Amino acid sequence: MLCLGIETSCDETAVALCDDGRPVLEKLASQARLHAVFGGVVPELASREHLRCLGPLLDALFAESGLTLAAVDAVAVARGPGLLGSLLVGLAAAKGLCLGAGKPLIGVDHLHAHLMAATLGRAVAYPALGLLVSGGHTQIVRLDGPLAMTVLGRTIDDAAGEAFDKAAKSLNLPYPGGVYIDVLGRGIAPDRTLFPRPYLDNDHLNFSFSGLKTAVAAYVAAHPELRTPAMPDAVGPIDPEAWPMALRRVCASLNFAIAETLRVKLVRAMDGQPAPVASLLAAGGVAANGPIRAMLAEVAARRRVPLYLPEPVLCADNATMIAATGCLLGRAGLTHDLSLAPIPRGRKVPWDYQTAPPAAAGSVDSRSVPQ
Amino acid sequence: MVDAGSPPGAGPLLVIDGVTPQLGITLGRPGEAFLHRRAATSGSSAETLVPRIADMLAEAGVAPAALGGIACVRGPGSFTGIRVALATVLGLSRGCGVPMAGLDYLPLLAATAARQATGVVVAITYARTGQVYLQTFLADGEPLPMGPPVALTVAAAAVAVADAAAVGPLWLVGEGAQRSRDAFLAAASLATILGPETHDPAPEILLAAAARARYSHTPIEPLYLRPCDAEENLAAFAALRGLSPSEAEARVRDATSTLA
Repeated sequence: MLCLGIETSCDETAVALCDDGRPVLEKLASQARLHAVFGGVVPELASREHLRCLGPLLDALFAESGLTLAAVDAVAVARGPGLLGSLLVGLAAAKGLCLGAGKPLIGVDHLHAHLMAATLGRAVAYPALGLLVSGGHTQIVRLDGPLAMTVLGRTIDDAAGEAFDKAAKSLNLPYPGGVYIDVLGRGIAPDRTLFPRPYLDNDHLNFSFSGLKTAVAAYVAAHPELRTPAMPDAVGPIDPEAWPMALRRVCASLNFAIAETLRVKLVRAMDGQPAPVASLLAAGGVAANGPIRAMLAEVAARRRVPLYLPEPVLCADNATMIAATGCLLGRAGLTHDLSLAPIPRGRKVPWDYQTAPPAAAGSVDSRSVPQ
Repeated sequence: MVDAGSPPGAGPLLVIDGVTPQLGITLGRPGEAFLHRRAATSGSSAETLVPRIADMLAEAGVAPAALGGIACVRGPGSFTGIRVALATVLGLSRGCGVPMAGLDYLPLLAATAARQATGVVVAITYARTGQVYLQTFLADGEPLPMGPPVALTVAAAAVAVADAAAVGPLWLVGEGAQRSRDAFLAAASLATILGPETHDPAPEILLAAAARARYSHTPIEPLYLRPCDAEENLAAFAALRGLSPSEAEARVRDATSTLA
């Protein structure tokens, strides 16, 4: 099954083709440099950029892949959770394509797709435990199959990525700041007592990062010399050696605090499952963070389970993950009609697929997500 | 490269107007029987627009690929409404291979008014945040624009209306004129403010404009007329980041003109 994927959940405009789950080609336009000037994503600007970029990206995707829309079996689109105005652009274009070309529409849960990015091309053993960490989301989920996802814990306020981004903003580093914090902290011993590891003194799997965000902001306010005088333009590689050691230690300490917090809850989740966890997955932009990747590798090694991480390029928002998840859903005969609604951030994406005869034979687990 | 475009093909024309919550879809050719639906969207136009188009095409027995052209009102109006319509049309056009054309909203309103008005027609629509979109036309049959469409405060729009009153008999059309009628009548007491039946372009006007439009496969550029609030406050954001206003402007311009 050849699936076209469209992703416009936040500030990346992306289109991709996947053939039976195998990535064919992706075309992506990032808006990070634009939003960096404002210190965070401006929703109206993001929506305008999605509309501006979508046509040229689609044209380039088909021109460079040598494929045509006629060869596409289904159009998959991120339907949320995300920024409503941004989602609407991708959703409207996807529906137009479906009506114009007579293709089925498959709305994809953006978070589900992030986790599926870690399974691409791999024979993942289930049940798997998944850690989803991005600028908008922090969740621990259990996957009993590729299409059977249960959320075990989530952030009650800010996402881990939000803590990184706001820390970077207080240091006057460009949005998205997680990359800067990661690179600047590399190779530096963290001060383990500098920042709290929040919300661990409980017995559940939820997260809270708002206190950590405030702690970093307060520390920077008390040490204003840490702030970069003029925000650098977010272009090209970052040379950590060019930055003050005090700033790099703050970055290393924040990386440590967040990685440790995630580790404690992840281990707790692994211990609390009815059946032994057979593999570990992680996804989302923050899963590209070096110390978090190292923590995950260590947990997986100790528990003797395989760890599946997406390639770094598939950690951030992308359309390959949407197209690949679309292939899984399409093969299971799961589609949407053209009245599909977007789901804004903070709301659960319903499992509301219509069942059509499976498009192709396959051993796909199509049990619905428990509501 | 801008494609100057070609006249539409021989098939029926599909015209989509999503700049107000009264979502309009028209299907047909000028002077022939046509289908027209205009109704408030329940919730988001993203949920209702494509199913309504699909229903109308089915009712007319027209396959998408048999359309002569797909025209879409590109603004000014609701930013989100414009985008949902334009993104839908982009997908539809790419999906069925039929070219598309953008139509400007205020000339459509003026042409609708010109069916009963002769003289000067000022199209004024509601733009939120105390503003209106305004364009002035000389109307004797087909309206001729006397200037470009602009976004103005109601007070500035009243000045423009007073200026227009000096040219000839004055007609105001659009929801923006209705909402602030007192301000406009204070500026031009003899102006005629047309009623709600003219607040949306008439289907015959939409089809006539669609038949005259130039079609291509280049995505239609939206006509927002206004930057978003954050862009209007760019200097303040720049100061927080330690950037000069010109440096911040350069970065925004650079980031919104490339595709990398």
